[in-house]
Amino acid sequence: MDKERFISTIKDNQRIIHKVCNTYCRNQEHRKDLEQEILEQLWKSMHRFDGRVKVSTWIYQVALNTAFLFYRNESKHQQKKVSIDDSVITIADKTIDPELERRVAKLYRFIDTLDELDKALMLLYLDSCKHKDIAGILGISETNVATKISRIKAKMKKEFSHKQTISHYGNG
Amino acid sequence: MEMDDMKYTWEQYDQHLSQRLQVDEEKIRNSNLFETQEQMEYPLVSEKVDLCGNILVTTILLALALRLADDLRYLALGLIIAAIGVIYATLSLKKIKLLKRINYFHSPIVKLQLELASTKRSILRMRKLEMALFPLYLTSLIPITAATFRGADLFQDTTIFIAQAAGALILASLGVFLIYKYLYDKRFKKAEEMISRLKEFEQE
Repeated sequence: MDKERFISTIKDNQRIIHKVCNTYCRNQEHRKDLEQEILEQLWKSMHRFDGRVKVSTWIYQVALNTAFLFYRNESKHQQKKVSIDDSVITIADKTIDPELERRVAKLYRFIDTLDELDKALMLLYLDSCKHKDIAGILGISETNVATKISRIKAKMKKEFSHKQTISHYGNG
Repeated sequence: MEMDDMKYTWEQYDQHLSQRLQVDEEKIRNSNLFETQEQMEYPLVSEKVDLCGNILVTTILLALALRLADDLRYLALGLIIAAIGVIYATLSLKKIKLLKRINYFHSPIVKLQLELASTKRSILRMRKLEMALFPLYLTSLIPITAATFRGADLFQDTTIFIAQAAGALILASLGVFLIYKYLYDKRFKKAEEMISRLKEFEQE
């Protein structure tokens, strides 16, 4: 694949990379490093992409696998093979509806409480990936995907109702 | 916040990102990203270097032992070293095979993580065996190197030989014990925990 096609693929799927980095790294410096690592792995493995799955599914696969390796070896990621001074994917206009910002922050706080595998599952689910695709990316059965999603839902319900109760009594 | 609210928030967030996210194409073009080739992972390179080093050292030691083969004791030590060298080489080849099998970025996440953890566990097991044989390897090479480089026949002066061999054996065994305890055992435990967690995740 040539550079221009690679760049256009990145442009089309920048949201996936941005969300994976935000989910697995809360620290800005690490986020930038992970972004570079994902770009590098995508470039290196792109020639092996055979089109059997959608490009977005494949990008998820590479990005999440890279995030997993990065997550487990964060301290070892000191030597940079690729030199890009700053993030390649940036938010041009940082203004955001305060209500949306609050809700997104709450969502990320909840995702932060999940372990790394559930984080991936949650991210794919929120991005409306089909159960079949989620199962393929994670390497588990579709039934298992459904079971886990309902468990996460239950956990979320419990967590938020617990917080509401605390704030209710706190205010009362 | 219910799951439906959550999905709705996420969709809004996604829309927000689609309007505002931008890729700095120039930064990508000017980076050395495109110069990076598919490279071998560090453990694989390290194993290959280990294999070559081991073959070289064992061959040299065996050649030195054969030069002293008039005395059958040196020949026996040379054969011990060669046998251990063959075991080391076999283990290195096995490790290389295991590491090469891993498909880093085209495997489902759980499968890749399981492969990585199982490979790590197998490699740690092999390294433990290598470490266990090391004191014997070290003790065997002392008389050969002493005879070759210092012209000293340690078999003539058994007291010195026993003292040197025992010293080397004690130090090497202590080193092996400490490395086992503080490095391999912890890593092995972590790999085992990871495997059971992944299997649980896979089967739940």
